[in-house]
Amino acid sequence: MEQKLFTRIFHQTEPSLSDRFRILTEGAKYDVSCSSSGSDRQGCFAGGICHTFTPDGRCVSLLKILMSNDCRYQCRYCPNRKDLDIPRATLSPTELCEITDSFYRRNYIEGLFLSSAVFNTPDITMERMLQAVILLRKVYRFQGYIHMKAIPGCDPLLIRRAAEYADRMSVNTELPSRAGLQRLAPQKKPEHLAAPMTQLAQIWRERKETGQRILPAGQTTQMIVGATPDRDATILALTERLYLRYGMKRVYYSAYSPVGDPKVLPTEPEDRLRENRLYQADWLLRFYGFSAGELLAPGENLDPDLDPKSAWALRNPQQFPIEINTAPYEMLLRVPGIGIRSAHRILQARKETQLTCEDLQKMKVVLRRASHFILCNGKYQGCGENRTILRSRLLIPGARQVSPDQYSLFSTVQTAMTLTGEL
Amino acid sequence: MLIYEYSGTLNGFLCTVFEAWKQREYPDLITDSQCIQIPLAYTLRTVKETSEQAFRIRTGIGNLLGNSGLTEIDQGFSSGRSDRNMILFHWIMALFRYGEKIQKMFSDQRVLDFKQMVSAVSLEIHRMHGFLRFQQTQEGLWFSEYAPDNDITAFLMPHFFRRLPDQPLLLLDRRRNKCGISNTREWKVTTLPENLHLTKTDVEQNLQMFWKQYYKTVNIASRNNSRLQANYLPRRYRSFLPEMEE
Repeated sequence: MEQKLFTRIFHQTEPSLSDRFRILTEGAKYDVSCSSSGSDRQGCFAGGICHTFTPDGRCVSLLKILMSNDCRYQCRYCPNRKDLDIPRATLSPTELCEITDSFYRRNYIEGLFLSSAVFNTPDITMERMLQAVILLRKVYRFQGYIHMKAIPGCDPLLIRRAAEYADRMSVNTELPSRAGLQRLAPQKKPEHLAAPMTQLAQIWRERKETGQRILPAGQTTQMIVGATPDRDATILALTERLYLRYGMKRVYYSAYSPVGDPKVLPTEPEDRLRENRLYQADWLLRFYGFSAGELLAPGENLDPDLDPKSAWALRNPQQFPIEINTAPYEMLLRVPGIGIRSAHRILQARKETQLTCEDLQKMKVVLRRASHFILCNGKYQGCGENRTILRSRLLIPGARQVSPDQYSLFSTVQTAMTLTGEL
Repeated sequence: MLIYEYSGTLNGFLCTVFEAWKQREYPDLITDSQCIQIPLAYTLRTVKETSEQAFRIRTGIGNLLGNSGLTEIDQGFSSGRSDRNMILFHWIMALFRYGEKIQKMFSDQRVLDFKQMVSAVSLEIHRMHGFLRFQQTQEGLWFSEYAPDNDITAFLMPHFFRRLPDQPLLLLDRRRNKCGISNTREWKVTTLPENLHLTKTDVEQNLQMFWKQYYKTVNIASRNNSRLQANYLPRRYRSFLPEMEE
């Protein structure tokens, strides 16, 4: 009798699975990466499939969830920081596996994005996450995609083992500068964040050399934009370093939401337009052969009114106009309004015929922007070199009339999706 | 006005292409239905389906463009557009005339129309890989229903057959009353079996609740952008998504 009573009380005090599930979703929702692509693991059919879109316009591809939100750290920008009075919860590996597997079987998700607050020690946290992932793969025979956070400060052996089961792993860069990190997350040192990144980069290199099936989708990272006064130039330079030094597959930006400590952090959300411009610039770094230094001088911010390529072209009039029928691929890519696909089309099509302006239009070149920088068969149809006029022509019509939050990211994301199979 | 009539299958359609090529004439309309509005003056040619002629056309396309070209034909033919047949017809004719070079003729209207039609179909296939939802039934089947613009069930089945290897599937196209079924060993597309009765399991109710809660929680309400959401997830697809129910 006593035993039964005890059980009942125990169940009353313990939040139900549904409540804990909600709490742990809430804690993970500001994580940005949800992509499920880039894996060539056997039996993995994932590749940039979005299962639904939430009213904020974000794609749901993976089940984004925390193992626990019971954190020992006091990072001022984080909605799960230690001193905050919020309900705390933890999932057991079995509970996590049950939910993930059931969602996957119903085609709700591509897989799992597993992160966690650091409860107790980094080792214990990482071990628990690893347990869940092994259970999922070995007992549930789960074939979906797994993205897992590496917890800085944990034993490298745990990361090594996790890489055998996960498709992709990531370590948060957190903030774009050392000073920001020192001020807002004094318990985290840049060196501690760099160590697991270096290890993952090493694993990735080994994989290439030995061909073993480990960490098939590589590593990514993310940072919060707008929580610190760092300029876009700093962010892009850091991004470039991350790609070069650690072979990152992607660097994600997360416009700051006011979930942190209002005493030291902005109380207004960061403009999402800034996030969008950074992604555009990131795209230029990865696929268009630009370097961070070309796009911005130290201390500068990206122009909110112009896409970064147009802004670059406007500052470099000496490079234009170029003849569309003869210009090399690298130059075609630098013309505003010409994307990777249309550049390829131009290369193919001009073998057969001399291209005219009308041809370009049919190839989905955005002439409204491109025409000022190109010649078609020697013919120029742009508005000349006057910077003010040119600038006004390059502005995206209506962009400033709507509030920044409504700004449609559609064109860029859409291009991204079709181009790279959702990297 | 010259009208070609055919059986309604892809092979039948390819035979009309063969016929037109042989007769050196361009039909104004290719149709498979008896109930079209007949114009005042017309000639109707009913093309008989023979597998040999269809095979010759297929081989011709395959030789020029390889398997990917044939896939494009298959996908194009499953388009729900009313002008589908003529777009396909013009493309195949142009292909035989210009050869593989046609792949690079991006400014040709026939090419544009065809490519656009095919990419609409493949976009819908891609989207449905994500937007289909399966429910477990007491009969042991995993059931999913949808109403796509294009007839894409046959393109979706291989994906889900491989992805959910131990689940017997029933994928129902409500618009066409067609369904794809699999028993985990093989799959096929057939017409909807009569008196089909399926009952949701109790677990199902529970899981949908979890899913709806997840969907609601993961949204950042202060950043609502329903226009962007509608770009990615068109409203016509929403009626079959449990997370969209109020």
